Amino acid sequence: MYFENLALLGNYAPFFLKGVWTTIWLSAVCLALATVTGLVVGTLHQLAWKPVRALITVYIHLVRGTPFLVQLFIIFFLLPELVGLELSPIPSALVALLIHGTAYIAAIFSAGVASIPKGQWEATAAQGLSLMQTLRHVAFPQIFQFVLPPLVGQYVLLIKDTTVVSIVGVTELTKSGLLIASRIPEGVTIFSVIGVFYFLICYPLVHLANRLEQRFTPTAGN
Amino acid sequence: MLGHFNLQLIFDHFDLFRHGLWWTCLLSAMGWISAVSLGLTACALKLGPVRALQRSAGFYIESIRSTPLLVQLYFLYFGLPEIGIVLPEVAVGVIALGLNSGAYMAEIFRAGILKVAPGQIEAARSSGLSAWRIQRHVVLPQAVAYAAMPLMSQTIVLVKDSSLLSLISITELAFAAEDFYSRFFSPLEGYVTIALLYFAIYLILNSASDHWARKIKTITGTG
Repeated sequence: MYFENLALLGNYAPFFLKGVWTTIWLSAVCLALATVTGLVVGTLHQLAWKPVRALITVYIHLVRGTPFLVQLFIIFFLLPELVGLELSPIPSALVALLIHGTAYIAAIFSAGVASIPKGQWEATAAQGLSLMQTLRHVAFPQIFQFVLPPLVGQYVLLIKDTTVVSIVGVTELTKSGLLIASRIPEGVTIFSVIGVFYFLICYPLVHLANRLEQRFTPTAGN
Repeated sequence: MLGHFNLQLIFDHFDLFRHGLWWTCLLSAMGWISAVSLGLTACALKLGPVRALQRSAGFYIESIRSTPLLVQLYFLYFGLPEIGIVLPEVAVGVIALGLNSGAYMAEIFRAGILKVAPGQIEAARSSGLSAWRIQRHVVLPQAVAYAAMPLMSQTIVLVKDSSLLSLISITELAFAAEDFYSRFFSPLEGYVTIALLYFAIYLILNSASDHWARKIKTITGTG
């Protein structure tokens, strides 16, 4: 019985691999974009005009304080209304992932920029460097090692969050598993295989985050 | 949809959300208790002397942290009945939440213990304190202080994660919004309402965490 089902599962391999591919490109696009927007928003959070900073603080808290599932549904129902057309679930999913990811990554970069001592800003200003030059040549190179461990950790969380977009009908890895499981009653096998795929994607990053943390975080007493 | 955001409808059917809120709090509390117990156990095994136990605790922590909660949830939901274990959805939900957060908490506790400076333990040993007393009076009080803040963050994550339990039809807060949508066919009211309720829980937990952070600073001497 089990082996018959296993053979049946084999038929779904192409469908399943399509799900793997969707998860990979969705994660890659979302991570790349959210890193850029997170860097901009996070820097503005430290350096912009005060009301803008306050707005960013509210935004970060709102995203942190609500589940991604709820954010996703709000975007999913709100976005077609705002744009005025029926959208496929993928744009909604991407926008929701981007809004979600940007907030967390912005918080990381914001803490990084805040870690630059005040004297350095004054020194570069006295040297006649513009703000952009200061950021590019003085601030960012220094915060790189400070933000890298939490950033990689956040990437792992974001990749795992992409599973949630399955509920608005994006057929990524988790959704493809759910669809297969509704036809062949082999949940243990199906979700083990899916777990292994996520493990293969995430574990190297988890490992990297741990290594980076050990390398860059000073321990107490040193 | 935006033009007629129906506040009255929310107030008329607030019972739906109150029921959901109650279940979200209950599930989070039960999930939290399981997660802390599992986390402490896994942390103790990983720091303990037995090689095999260290390995298995490590395997548990790494495999949970490298896979999404939703996949773990479906694995249990579809998998447990297949191996002959039939549990109510609520039990499956609490197990999934506890297993998931437990792995993160194990790492939080371990980091807290390892953060205590080795010099202090050496000093305590040379002062003639027994191993048990070193743990009880030197290591653990500081480890608790170090772990408290990340533990609060993980608690907030756990409460938000409990929203995924709506997908195995547990009638918590996210389910209430879905229910509201299917009854009145206006989705935004329900989802905005639960967003505000989740945010209220977040604000309470966050301010508690800020309050402790100030107290803890006096124990550890640092941030």
